[in-house]
Amino acid sequence: MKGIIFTEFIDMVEHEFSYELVDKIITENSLFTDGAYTSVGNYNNKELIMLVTSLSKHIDKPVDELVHAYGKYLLGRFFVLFPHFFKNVSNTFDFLDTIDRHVHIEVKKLYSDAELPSFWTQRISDTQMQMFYRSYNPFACLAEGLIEGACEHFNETLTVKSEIEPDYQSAIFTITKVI
Amino acid sequence: MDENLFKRRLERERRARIEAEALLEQKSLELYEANMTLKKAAETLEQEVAQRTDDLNKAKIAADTANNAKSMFLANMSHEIRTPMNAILGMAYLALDTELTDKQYDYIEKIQLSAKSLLGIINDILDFSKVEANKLELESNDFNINDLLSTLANLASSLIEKHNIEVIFDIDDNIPEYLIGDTLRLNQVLLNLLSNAIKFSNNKNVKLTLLCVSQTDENIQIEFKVTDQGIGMTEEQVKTIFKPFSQADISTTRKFGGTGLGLVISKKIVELMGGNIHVDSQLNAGSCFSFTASFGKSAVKSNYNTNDYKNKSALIIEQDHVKERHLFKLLEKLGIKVDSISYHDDKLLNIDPCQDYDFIFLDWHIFNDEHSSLLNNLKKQLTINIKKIIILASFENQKVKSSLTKLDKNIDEILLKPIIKANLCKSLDHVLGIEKKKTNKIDTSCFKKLAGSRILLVEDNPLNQQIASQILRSNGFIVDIAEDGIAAIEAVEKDTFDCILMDCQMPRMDGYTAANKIKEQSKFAHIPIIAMTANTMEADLTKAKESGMQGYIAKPIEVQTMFEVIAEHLTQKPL
Repeated sequence: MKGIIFTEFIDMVEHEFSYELVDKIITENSLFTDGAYTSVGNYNNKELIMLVTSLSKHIDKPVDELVHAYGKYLLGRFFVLFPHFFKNVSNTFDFLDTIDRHVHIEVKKLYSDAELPSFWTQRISDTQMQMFYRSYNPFACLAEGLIEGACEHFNETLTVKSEIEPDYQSAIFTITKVI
Repeated sequence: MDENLFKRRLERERRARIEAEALLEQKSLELYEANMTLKKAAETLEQEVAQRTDDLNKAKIAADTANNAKSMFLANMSHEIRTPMNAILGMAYLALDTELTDKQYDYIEKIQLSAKSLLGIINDILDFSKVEANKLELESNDFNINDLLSTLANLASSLIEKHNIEVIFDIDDNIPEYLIGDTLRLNQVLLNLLSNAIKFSNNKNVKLTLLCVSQTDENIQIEFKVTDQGIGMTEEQVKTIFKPFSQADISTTRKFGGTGLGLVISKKIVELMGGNIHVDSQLNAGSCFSFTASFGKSAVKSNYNTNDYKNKSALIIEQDHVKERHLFKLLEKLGIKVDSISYHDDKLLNIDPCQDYDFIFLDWHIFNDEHSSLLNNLKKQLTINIKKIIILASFENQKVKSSLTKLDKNIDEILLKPIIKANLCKSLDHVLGIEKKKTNKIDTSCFKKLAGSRILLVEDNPLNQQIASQILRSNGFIVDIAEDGIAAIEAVEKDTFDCILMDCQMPRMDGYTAANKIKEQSKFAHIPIIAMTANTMEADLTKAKESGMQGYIAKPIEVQTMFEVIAEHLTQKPL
């Protein structure tokens, strides 16, 4: 899993809660990296799961909800960190189309070893689209958070119907514009 | 706050930084290596390009050398082939002039015909090699379109003698008489298209149409169209006919002959004239070849005067199946009142309708209709009006002449088809007794005036010496022979000559050098020197001109052309 997912997660916890909480969730897990992450590295996804699970325990919120919230947070960060990817994107549907068809292709050029989830999209009509999420990592809720983040970013009202598999590795999201 | 917490945080940051640096290092190295690989590839590529360019250059030089060698070979072959052809044609010409039995005459005439057709093939191949080498160049001279058309008409009529067909020339009146262009090449293209049309005409009529497409003060665009109703071609055949050495049907090679180069050469000539040859064809329905070419407008203006024909009238006596519509239109355009009548018409029996007309046209075939009861009466009336009669015929041969003897008096005026305006006017003028001022065209009668002129023939080949001198002598010239350039200069010093005929390739001193040396001396500068050469490539002719020779006669010698060239140069100075 790309290091940026780890560094952004640590930053978020530091920002939303405290340095102490970050220190706590790192030290109470025996992590291979000891919590030293760089955005350009690659790390085992199990470490993120361990960190999220610890966080869930400390703030008493379900893991799903946390991952979902992180997804939303991450969306906003993407627009700050990589504005050039989204220059021509002005709505949620276009944004979701762009991930697989453009962003992931560019990422693969720079990091040929990156293992990226697939965000296959299909337009049902002008007002409805489906996104099929598949990943080696159980982060379907993160994808759900991304979609919701995008709606907020573009200031659109959409309904999202999520059909998430029990292993969280695949999901179908049906997104409908509310007019 | 817990100091240890920050220490741990610092430690994590430091580890992350070191890891990031290591990754950066690794990426830099990868980048460097990729760069080196690319550089190496580029270098190899450059080397490869240099190598290939070198190879290509070598191949180009080799090809150019080979091509030059080929051109040289062709020029030489052209000379080598034309020299014996000269002997064959010349000897045949001389032999035909001797006492021969009919059988011998027939044999030799066939030798001459075959030699001429072989020469045609050789010329085709030489032209084609010029086309291939992009050496085909057009001349740009004033020419009279009527002269071109009458030459074509003559050639066409000699071609249709075997086929029982008519060739019609339909010429737009808006085309001025004098144009600027390459008349020889235009003639070559039109003759090629016409002879093809006649060859494949399937005994149906052939038509040549000239149409003025547009004109300005300086230029004129003319569309030429040759239409036949003959065997036609399939789409597949149309696609291949402009390819060298191909003919519409391989079996036609046997039936119709030809090199299959004519159209390729024609296409190229038309392109040089700024046009494009186009063909429409339908199997068993006929073909239409057309092209548009542009010509300059000449400052020379037509000296036609059609006023002589105003208020005149003409009668066309038509056969049942041949309507003389084209002649009808031409006469009308000249301001002549025209009537036509079928020769079966009873009117011809009772009264004499011929009396009221100034011209009477009729086809020679009419005299062969032995079954017609009207014929005798018609003959009687025609005999009375004999001076007005103009006979229409597609060719002038023994058959035509013997049919005309069926009248009691002689008919002089035969108008050959295809009818063109210039020839028609000539016939009309003869009937009216008008003598038009002679143009500066060579008249064969002036050859007689040239008799007695002294000619120096410079030629190394004894066979050619014999042919040329004998032809010249039998036409009344006095001929001296020099066997090379040096002998020629000696002869000029010793005697006075009216004209020098100079072979170009000779031992000891060639014709170019000799001409140069003679022209250098002002006392000989007035003597016309005419090159006689089997080398007719553009470069050779330029070389002849540069060395001071005024004209040239191509070998093998065409007797008529030779006299025309000699006459042209001899008449330029007072005799």
